[in-house]
Amino acid sequence: MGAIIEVENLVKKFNGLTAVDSISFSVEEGEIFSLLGPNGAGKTTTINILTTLLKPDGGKAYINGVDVVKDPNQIRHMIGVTFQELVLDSNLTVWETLDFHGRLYNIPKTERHKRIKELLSVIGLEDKAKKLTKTLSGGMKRKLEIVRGLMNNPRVLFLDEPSLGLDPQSRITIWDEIRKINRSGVTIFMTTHYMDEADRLSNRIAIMNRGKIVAIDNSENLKSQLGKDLILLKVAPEIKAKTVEILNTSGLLKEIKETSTGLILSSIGKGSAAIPKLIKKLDEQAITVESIELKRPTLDDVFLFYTGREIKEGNDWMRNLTIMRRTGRLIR
Amino acid sequence: MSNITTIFWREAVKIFRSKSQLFSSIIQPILWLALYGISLNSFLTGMPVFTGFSYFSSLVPGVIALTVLFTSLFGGIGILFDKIFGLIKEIAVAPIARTDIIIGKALGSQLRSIIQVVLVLIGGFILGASFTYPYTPVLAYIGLLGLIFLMGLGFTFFSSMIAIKLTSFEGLNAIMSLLTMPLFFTSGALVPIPAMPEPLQFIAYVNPVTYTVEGMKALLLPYTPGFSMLTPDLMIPLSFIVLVGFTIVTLIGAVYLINRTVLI
Repeated sequence: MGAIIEVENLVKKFNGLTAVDSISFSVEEGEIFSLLGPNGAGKTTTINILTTLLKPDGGKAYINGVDVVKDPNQIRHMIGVTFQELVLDSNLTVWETLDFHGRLYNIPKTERHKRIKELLSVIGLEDKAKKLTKTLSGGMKRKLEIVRGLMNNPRVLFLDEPSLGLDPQSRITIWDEIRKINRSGVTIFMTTHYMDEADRLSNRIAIMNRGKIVAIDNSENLKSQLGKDLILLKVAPEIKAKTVEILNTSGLLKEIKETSTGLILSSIGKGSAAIPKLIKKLDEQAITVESIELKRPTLDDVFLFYTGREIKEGNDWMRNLTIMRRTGRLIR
Repeated sequence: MSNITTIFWREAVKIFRSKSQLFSSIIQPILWLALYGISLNSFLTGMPVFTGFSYFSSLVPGVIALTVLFTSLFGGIGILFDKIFGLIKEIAVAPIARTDIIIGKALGSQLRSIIQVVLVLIGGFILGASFTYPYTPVLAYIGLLGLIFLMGLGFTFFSSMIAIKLTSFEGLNAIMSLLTMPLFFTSGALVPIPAMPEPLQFIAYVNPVTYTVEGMKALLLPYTPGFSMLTPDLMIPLSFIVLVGFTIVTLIGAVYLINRTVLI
């Protein structure tokens, strides 16, 4: 199968700030593709451009060969979208929500009603069809939003942070729904800042940081790129630079990355064999090691390795605000 | 066309689902009739300009216009609501022209207006209004609905223009509340236009509400010099021409703005 989404050097600026900084990638038809990054990385902006809500300042984006800027209406017929924040009219019932959406795509009445029944049975909401959406739980609202995006039988379903603000159990059922949808032949393009979500669901992950895509591959390859073993080393900040200098001469390490909390070292050989030698070398130069840890790389380490920061260092208040909006603790 | 119906359908569902809102908005017009209208009626009826009809009856068209004006100036709230709660994005990623959003929402607002006008008219009759109908009653009410429909559309498009640019309900509230009273008082709703001081008359001539009120008076009440702005044969066509023009201009403005605004 070929690429269904192709993005070339996409750029978007807001008031001089570059939100999306010349990114390129492609998504294969039938895969689950995740854009992983902290808040403010540019993930939602990328989705907004691909879903025709925003015009890019540079670069090209195609879905199924159609240019998103030149022919937005054709794109709109091919895609379904679930937004990051809750986008459900609390004045409509579950049935009306899907019916309204189907009408927006001019789906004939009989087909529309058939489709609504199908989708409601997929998420087990048949008995709530006549209930107002405001009476649903957070997880049910999210499921309803996701299947709403399927009303028009899209080729690609865009999910912006699909499990944001949900309890652990709802997250798992949402993941099951996403897999089910994907197995039915729909390509999924999602964003997330949850490592586990990206790791468990996606065929491929693009790590996005400060508007750029810094790595792109499947989860296994991303991890194995870091080597078999990772050594996490902590020293006092003022001697960090000197430590890196010394380690560079050791000949035992493939790569050294500085992060906000310490150093990540990927070893050439076995990590457990490298540690004593490294400590000895640092000791000779009178460098005090605060702590040292050996571990198998996880996606968190991959992220830390490529971006130099942990994902939770993102804009926390903004995420909390979105969660509050999502779960209805704010204004609604 | 079917896209306009879709947008209109959702507005209609919302209107019938929040009946309290529908009824609470006719309290103010009914109070104008019951308190202001009745108290001034005995004082003014019998003055030379009110021959053949009561002051109260002449107030009804004005209060109908007030009802429509109020609802329409807030007609943009449907768009603002969708913007604030992100619902506009669901529509913006669907293959639907933005013009259809503007028109569908505005038609929804007119449904609300027409229901309210019917209720206010019934209230007016209960409180003692009676009309002479220079043409026929049927023609009078068809004409009346046409006038309020056009004025309502015009002011809803105008309100939509503001709503497209705003991000809070308070903003719309402030701007629209500021406009309601001046538009109402300078429209001939309370005082006959020929009886107004000249500067106010000039404002009345450029106020679209004037053409709704005067058009309705021409359809319902006898022509009276000193009370009527023009003879009914001139007033009625003029009203329709002005209001159609007003509606077209505001529609163009709203469509222009929504096509140049990022809806996220």
